[in-house]
Amino acid sequence: MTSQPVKIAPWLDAKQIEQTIENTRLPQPRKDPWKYTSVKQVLERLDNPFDETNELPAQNGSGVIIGDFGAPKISSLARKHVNQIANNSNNVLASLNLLRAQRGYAIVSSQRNDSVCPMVHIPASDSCERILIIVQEYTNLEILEHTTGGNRFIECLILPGGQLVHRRIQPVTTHVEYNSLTVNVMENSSYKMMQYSVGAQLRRNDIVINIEGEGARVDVSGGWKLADTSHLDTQLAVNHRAKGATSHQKFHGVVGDSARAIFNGRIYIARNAPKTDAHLQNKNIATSDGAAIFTKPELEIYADDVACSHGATSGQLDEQQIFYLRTRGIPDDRSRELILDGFLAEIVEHDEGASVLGIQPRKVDGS
Amino acid sequence: MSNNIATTPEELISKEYTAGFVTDIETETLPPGLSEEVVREISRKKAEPEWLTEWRLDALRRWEKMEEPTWAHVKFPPIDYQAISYFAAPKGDKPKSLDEVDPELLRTYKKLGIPLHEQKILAGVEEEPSQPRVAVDAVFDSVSITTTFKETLKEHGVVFCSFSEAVQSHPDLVKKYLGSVVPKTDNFYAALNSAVFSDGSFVYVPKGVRCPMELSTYFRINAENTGQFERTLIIADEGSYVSYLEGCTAPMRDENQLHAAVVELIALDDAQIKYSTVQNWYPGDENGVGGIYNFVTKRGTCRGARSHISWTQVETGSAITWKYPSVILRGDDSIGEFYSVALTNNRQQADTGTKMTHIGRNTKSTIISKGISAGHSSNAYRGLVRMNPGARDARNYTQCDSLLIGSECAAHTFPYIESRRQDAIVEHEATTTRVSDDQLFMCRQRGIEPEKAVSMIVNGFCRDVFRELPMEFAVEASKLLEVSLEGAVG
Repeated sequence: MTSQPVKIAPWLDAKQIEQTIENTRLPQPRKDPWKYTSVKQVLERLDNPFDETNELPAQNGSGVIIGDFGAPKISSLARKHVNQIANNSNNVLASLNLLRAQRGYAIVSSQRNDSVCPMVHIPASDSCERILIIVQEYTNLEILEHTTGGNRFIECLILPGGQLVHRRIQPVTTHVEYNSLTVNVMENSSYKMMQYSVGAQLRRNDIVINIEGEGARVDVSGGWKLADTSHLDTQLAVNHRAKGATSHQKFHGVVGDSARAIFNGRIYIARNAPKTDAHLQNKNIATSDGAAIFTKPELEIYADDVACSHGATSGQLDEQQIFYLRTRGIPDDRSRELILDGFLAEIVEHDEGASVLGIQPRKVDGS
Repeated sequence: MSNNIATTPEELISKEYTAGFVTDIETETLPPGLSEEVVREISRKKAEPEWLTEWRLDALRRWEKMEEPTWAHVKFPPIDYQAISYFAAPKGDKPKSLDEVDPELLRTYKKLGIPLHEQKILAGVEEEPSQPRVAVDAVFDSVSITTTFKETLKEHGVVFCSFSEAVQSHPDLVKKYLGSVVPKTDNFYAALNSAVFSDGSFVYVPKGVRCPMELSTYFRINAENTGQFERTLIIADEGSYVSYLEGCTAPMRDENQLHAAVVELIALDDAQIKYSTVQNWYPGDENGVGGIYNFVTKRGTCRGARSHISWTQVETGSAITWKYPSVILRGDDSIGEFYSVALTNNRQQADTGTKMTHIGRNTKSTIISKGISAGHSSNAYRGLVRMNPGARDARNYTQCDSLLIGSECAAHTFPYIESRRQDAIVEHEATTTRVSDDQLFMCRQRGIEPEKAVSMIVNGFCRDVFRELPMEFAVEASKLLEVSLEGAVG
C-alpha cells in the first residue's frame, strides 16, 4: 500500500485512514447515539463537495497565534495533537472529516504581559474544517464561534491553569450541519461554553469534555429556539476522569411548529474521580403540537463519594403566568413572548446569544 | 409472608441466602435443547388446544430469527439455549387436593414460609394471628402445585388458577388476551417465553368486583439445568380491583439458571390492578458464581378509561436483572405507576426501570425508582416516558435516586423522554449520593452497629416505595434489604 498524505495534515497517511474507515462499523441508524437523527444525511453531506472558501479567524489583542497546521510555531503542536486529543480510532465521521477537510488550522494562546484576554472569532463557514485549540498553561482565551451548515471538528486542550471561554452561535441555515467538539481539561483549568442555536434542516452537535486533571471546572450552558421543521441534536458528554472536579450543564429550549429538539446529556464519573460535583439540567417548552422533544439526561457513576444530579422537563407555557400578564393589560401574544424570553434569558449571558435567539439580553446586575 | 427473616442483629450477621436449599424430589424433566418437538411436547403435556400449539410454534420460528439484545448495561457470557431443559415437573399426576401433594413439596413451602393450608390460616392455627388472608398459587419449576382459596374466590366470580388450568377452563379469555399486551415478537426473551412457557397464574376479576383477598403467586426453581418460563395473565374487568403479589426463590447453585417470564396485565374501564413483586432469586455468591438470570417482560395496558395499573417491585435477588415493568396508558384519564427498589450487592448486575407510554387523554404516570449499589455490583435505571400526539394534558413525574455503598460499585441512569405533545408535562429528576459519614457517625454515636445503621439509612431512602407495598410484603422487603446488604459495610 503506497502512502498518500492527508491534505491538511501531510504527516498523516490518508490510505491508512481510508483503511480504518473501511474496517470500522458505521454508526447504526435508529440506535443510540443516532436514535433520532439520520446519520445517513450527515454521511451524504460529507460525501458532497463543500464550499471552498474559508478564512482564518480574526483576532483581537495579543497573546494568541493562529495559523495553518503547517505554519511555523504551529506545526510541531499540530503533529503532536491533531487527531490525538479526540480518541477517534473508531470514529468514522472524524476520519472522514480529516480526509475531506479543506483547511486545518490551530489557535494557540500564549503568555503575555497585559491582563486583557485575547478574543478570537471563528467565522461561519459552509466548509469542512479541522481546528486545534490549545490554551497554554496559566493563559486565558476567549473564542466566539459561528457555525452555518459546514462540517467542523474542533479538538481543544486546556493545559493546567488555563482558562477558555467558548461562545458558539448557530444561526439559521438550510444545510445539514455536523459539528464535533472534544475538549480535554487539565488540572485547575476551566472551560466555560455557551451554545445558542436556532433552526437548521439538520444540525448535530457532538460535544465531549474530558476532565483529566484535579480541580478542573467545566460550565456548559445553552439554549435553542426552533421553528418550522428544523432539527437540532445535541449530544453532550462530560467525562470526569480526575478527582475533585466540578461540572455544571444547563440547557433551555423552546420548540415550535414541527421542529424537533434532541438532547442527550451524559455525566460519566470514573472510579478514580471521587469528590466530583456534577449537575445537569435540561428544560424544554413546546409551543405547538407538532413539536417533538427527545431528551435523555444520563448518569454513569463508578465512584461513591460524589454529588451528582440531573433533571429534565418538557412542558408548555404556564397558563397562570400568562394570566398574570393578561391581567396587567398585556396582550396574549406578547405575554407568551415575554415568558419565553424570560425562560431563555436564564441561560443567555451575552448579547450575541440574545440576538441569535431573538430576545432581550439579561443585564448582569439583574436590573 | 415469610418467617425465615432475621429479627436480631446477631441473626442478621450470620444470615445467608436462606431459600437456597434444594428439594430432593423425583422430577420429570425434558432433555436439554429447544426444537419444534420440544415445544410440541410441552404443549402435549399440558393437553393444549391446537391453536395454542401453533401459537407457540410460530413464536419459536420467530425467536430463531431474532438476536439477543445487547443494549443493557450488563455483562454475561453467551447463553447456550440448547443446554437448557425447558420443562421440569415433580413426578406424578397433578394432585387434586393438598392431601395428594408430595409431603416433600409441602415441607419446601413450609420452609419458605408460604401458606398452602387455607383452613389453618382461617383458623389462625400455626400461623401468626395477624397474617391476612392471601390466596396462593405455588409454581414449582414448570408446574403449578396448588392454588388456595379457589372456592372462596369463585363465590365472588374471581378466577384465580394456574395458567394451564385456565387454558382448559377459560379458553376464550386466554385466546382473547394472550399476547395482546406483550406480542410474541416483542423481544428476544418474550419470544422464547411464548414458545416454551410452562405455567404461571391466571386471574380474571369480573365487572364491578373488588377481589376479597390478596392474590399471590410463589415461584420456585428447584431442578438443575432448567429454566423457568412462566406466563402470567391478569384481566381486571370494568370497575374491578385486584392486588396481586409475586415472590420468587431458587436454590444456590454454581451455574446460572435462566428465568424468562412474561406478565401481561389488562385493566378495562375503571379497573385497578396493583402488582407487587418481591424478587429474591438466588443472586450468586460473593464472587459472582451462580445465580439466576432474570430476563423478564412485564407490561400492563390501561385499556379502559380511568383504569389504573401500579407496579411495585423490590428487587434484591438474581445475578442479572433485565426487567422493565411498563404501562401503556391507552384509556383516557388512566393512571400508571411504578415504584421500585433495586438493590445489588457483591457481583450482581441490574438494568431495570419502566416504560410509560401515554396514548390517551389526561393520562398520568408516576415513577419512583430507588437504586442501591453495594460491593462490586452495577445497578442501572433505564426508563422511557413517551407522550404520543394524542395524549392531551398527559402528565408524568419521575424521580430516580441512587445510593452507593462502597467505592467499587456503580450506579447508572438512562432515562429517555420523548414528548410529541405541547400540553404534556414531563418532569424527571435524579440524584446520586452515598451513605454519608455524618449519617453513619450519628447512628454509631447512639450505639447502633454499622450494619444496622446502614439498614436504617437504606430503609429511609426506600420509604416512598415501601409505603406502596401491601403491609406484609413491606415488612418482608425491608428485612430482605438487611439480609442482602450484609457485609456491605466494614
